[in-house]
Amino acid sequence: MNPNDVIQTYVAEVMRRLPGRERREIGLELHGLLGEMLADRAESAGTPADDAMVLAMLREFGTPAQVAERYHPAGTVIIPAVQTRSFALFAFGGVALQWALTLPRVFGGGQPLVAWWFSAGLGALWWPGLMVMSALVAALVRTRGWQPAWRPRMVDPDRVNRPVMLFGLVWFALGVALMVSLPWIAPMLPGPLPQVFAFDDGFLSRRAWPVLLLWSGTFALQLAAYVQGRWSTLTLRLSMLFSLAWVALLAWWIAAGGMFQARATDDGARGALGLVVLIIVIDLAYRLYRARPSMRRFPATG
Amino acid sequence: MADPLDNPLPKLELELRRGVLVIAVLSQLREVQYGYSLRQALARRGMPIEEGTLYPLLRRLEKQGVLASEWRIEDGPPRRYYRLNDAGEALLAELTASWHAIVGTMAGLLEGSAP
Repeated sequence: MNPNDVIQTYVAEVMRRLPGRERREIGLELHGLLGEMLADRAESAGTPADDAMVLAMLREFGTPAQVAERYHPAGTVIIPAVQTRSFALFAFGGVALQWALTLPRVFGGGQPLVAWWFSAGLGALWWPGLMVMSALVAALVRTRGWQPAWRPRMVDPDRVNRPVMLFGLVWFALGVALMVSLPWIAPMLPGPLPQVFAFDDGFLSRRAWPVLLLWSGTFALQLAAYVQGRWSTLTLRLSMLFSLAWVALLAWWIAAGGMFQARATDDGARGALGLVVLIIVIDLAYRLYRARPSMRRFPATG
Repeated sequence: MADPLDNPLPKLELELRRGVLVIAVLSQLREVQYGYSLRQALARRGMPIEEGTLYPLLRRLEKQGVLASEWRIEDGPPRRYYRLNDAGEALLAELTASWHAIVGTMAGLLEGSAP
């Protein structure tokens, strides 16, 4: 090998990675620089430049990819450092949750593992994909200079947002009304829907009634917080107790099954209730975390 | 005993040098230089700089409109020669003033913290 040929090959590899309009000029300059560096080395060593010398010099200089990178402007940050941890947590957590919900069928013998992998398994990756796309859009918005001004959104963490809470309470009441009247509405629905939404008689007579107590209690508690405008220690504790009671009731329903007469509806309802339980548990954990003494207040200053 | 690998000094010193790189390069480009000769001039005056860093920096400064460059063929291969233009001269003057102000402030701070 001729040392000059090695340098030519190296420079060509760098040029391949550079923007087209600058490629030739940078290549020419880099070639001249490396030639002079090699001549200096040979002069210092007192020997003519050889393959070993040129290779050692180029390895010290960096790989062609590293050298080309130096000529590129700093790239756009897609996920800011302050969000990297939560981004990874949500991305992995979302995939893990979907797998946790769909894998039991495989372990129960209802679906081969390979079929699961090529459906729900790989399909779960839509979530990190969506997150990356959202991060790209956010990065684009940031590069355009749009940055929302900071404002204190939680001066008093126990204060309730009344408009949002009222909206939630209305939907709460409508949802409860629909669920309570479903046993009477279902027979009047068209087509196969009466069979699809027909409740199991045993469920309605023995296991459904506690939900009325929990609905009433939860509604009353939310209404009290709405009227007072903030959560008090008592209403917060009661709210946590109600959350635990909801988890217990729903877990009982899921474990016992047989809520609907149709098997498919029952399976779907159990899956949905499982998700609700998970959300309640996460919310409860978050509220307990927020209620820690260290999170409540810093000492007053000034 | 502290692990030598945990010694933060080299990294911090590198950051310090990186901060003054632009002003060092601009200071030597009041006269026409090509990249390799510029590197040698800086090294001779105690400011060694890697070629891999210097060349992209020269291109960036040229893109920012503070350097003028031209290709020349003299003794040896074609070389790109750089020199401060008017905007570069003005920038160097401003940076020099800032530098003196920083040196003064730092001298005061370090003197105040001396045992």
